[in-house]
Amino acid sequence: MNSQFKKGVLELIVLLSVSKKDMYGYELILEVSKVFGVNEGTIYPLLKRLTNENYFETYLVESTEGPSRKYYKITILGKKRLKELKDAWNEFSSSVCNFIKECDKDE
Amino acid sequence: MNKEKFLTELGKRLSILNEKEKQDIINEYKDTIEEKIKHGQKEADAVKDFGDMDELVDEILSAYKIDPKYNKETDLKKIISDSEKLIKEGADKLATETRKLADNFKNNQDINLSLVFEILIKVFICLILIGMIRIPFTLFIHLGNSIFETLFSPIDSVVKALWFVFLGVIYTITIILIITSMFKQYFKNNNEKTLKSNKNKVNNIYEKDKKDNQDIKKSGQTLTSILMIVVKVWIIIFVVIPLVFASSGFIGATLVSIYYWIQGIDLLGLTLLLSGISLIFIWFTKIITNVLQEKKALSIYLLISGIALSIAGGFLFANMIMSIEYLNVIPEDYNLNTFENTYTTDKKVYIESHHNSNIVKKEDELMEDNTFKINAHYSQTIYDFKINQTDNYMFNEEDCEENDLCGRYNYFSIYPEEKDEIKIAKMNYKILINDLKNKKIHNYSKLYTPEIEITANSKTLNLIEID
Repeated sequence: MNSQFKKGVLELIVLLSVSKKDMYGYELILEVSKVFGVNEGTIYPLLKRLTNENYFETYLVESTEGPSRKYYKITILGKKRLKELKDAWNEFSSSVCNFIKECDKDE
Repeated sequence: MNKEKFLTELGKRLSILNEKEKQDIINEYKDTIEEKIKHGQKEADAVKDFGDMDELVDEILSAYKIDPKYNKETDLKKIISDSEKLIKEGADKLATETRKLADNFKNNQDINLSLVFEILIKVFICLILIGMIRIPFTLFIHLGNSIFETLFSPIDSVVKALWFVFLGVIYTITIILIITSMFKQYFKNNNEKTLKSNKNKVNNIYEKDKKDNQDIKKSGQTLTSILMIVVKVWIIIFVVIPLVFASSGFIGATLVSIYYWIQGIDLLGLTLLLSGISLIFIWFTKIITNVLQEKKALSIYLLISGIALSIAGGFLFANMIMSIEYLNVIPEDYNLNTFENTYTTDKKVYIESHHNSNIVKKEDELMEDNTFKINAHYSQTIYDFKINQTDNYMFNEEDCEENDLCGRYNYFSIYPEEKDEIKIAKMNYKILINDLKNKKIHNYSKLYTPEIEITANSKTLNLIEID
């Protein structure tokens, strides 16, 4: 899939995933991979940025199997941002779709 | 790349962040890698999935609104602070390593002793090398000086000074190379790696060409290895070979001592002493050859047993020597022959003896005038006794003036003639061995000084002159 599209939409996908359920890093990677393949290296910087911008909160959970895991949880601000992005995406994708439909019609 | 390398490298690149944030990020990546390994992925693959390190770091930093270009800018301040960090880190690592070394001293006694000896030997060798290398350098200095004097007469002092500085720098660098290559094995690998990669970071900043760095390192290593070869050859010639000779010599001496011990002489002490010294020399030789081949140091027990044997043996041997009796006579079972002859004379007599004869005059009033007796005790094995008589002998003018030997004499020349040397040597050997078995020593020189007596009455004795 085109990487330019991926980059733009990644934030949306991440916010959406975490809003469904609190997640830790690896879990999130798996979740996002269901939509499209992602460079795992960029997930954490993104999570960091979103946390720094207060869209996410983090908390640690003790694990029996190994070290304690850091979980990401969406905030009110994050939910607001998610709605913004969803609306933006819908508007964007429908505009593009309509344009393509029209183009297809012309052919 | 493996997990540890990845995480360490990441940590270094993110050093601009505060410690807590940095640790946070590293932990996340660490957990993810471990998670992936748990789910069956290989470590190298898990790391590869994160993509290019540079891009990753840029992304992470941009999440903190840090301009990624900050890391790469040619900022003089940054260079200085990085160099300071480098020096501090180097000093810290050095301090930690020496502390670890000192801690080793407290903990592990056994490894420690041989390590100490290894270091001592290396220090010793280093000092020798530094001294030895000084010789060619001094030679070069003098050579250069004489050339400069002839060629550059007006400005030769300046040229000489430059030459001296130049050689001095090379000399110092050579010494440093020797020392570092001898002792670098005592500083863990981590130390070197950290310093090297920090250097890389600084270099990256103002010189994006890493290749130059590696080339310089490579040529430095070549110089070191050449130098090491030269040094090793020198050590072999001047240290190892003499040690080998010395060791074989002492081993041979030990065997000889054992042989005589078997024959009955009490040489327990000497044998122990010689075998102890042999062990010490063997240990020395082995340790230096090990050092040359950069193998681990030899067990210290060899040296300790060698020293113990030498000391014990030394004491016993000294004891044995002091318990030997010294008798100032000829060995008892030695039979001497006697030679006796009577002579008459009408004039003065001159008696001369050769070799180490001991001539004494003895008075016997019962003898007739103008008659005297020559009496000799000697060993028939060593000597054949001969007397050569020349009548009417006249000395030359010199003897007349200086020694008052004027006029005519009857000249008697006494010749103890030494017999077959080999037979004599064999005999002496037997006597000595026998004596040592019995812990005695006689005055053997007396065997070589026949006792000669001249007996006559007092009137005749006046006619006799002895040399």
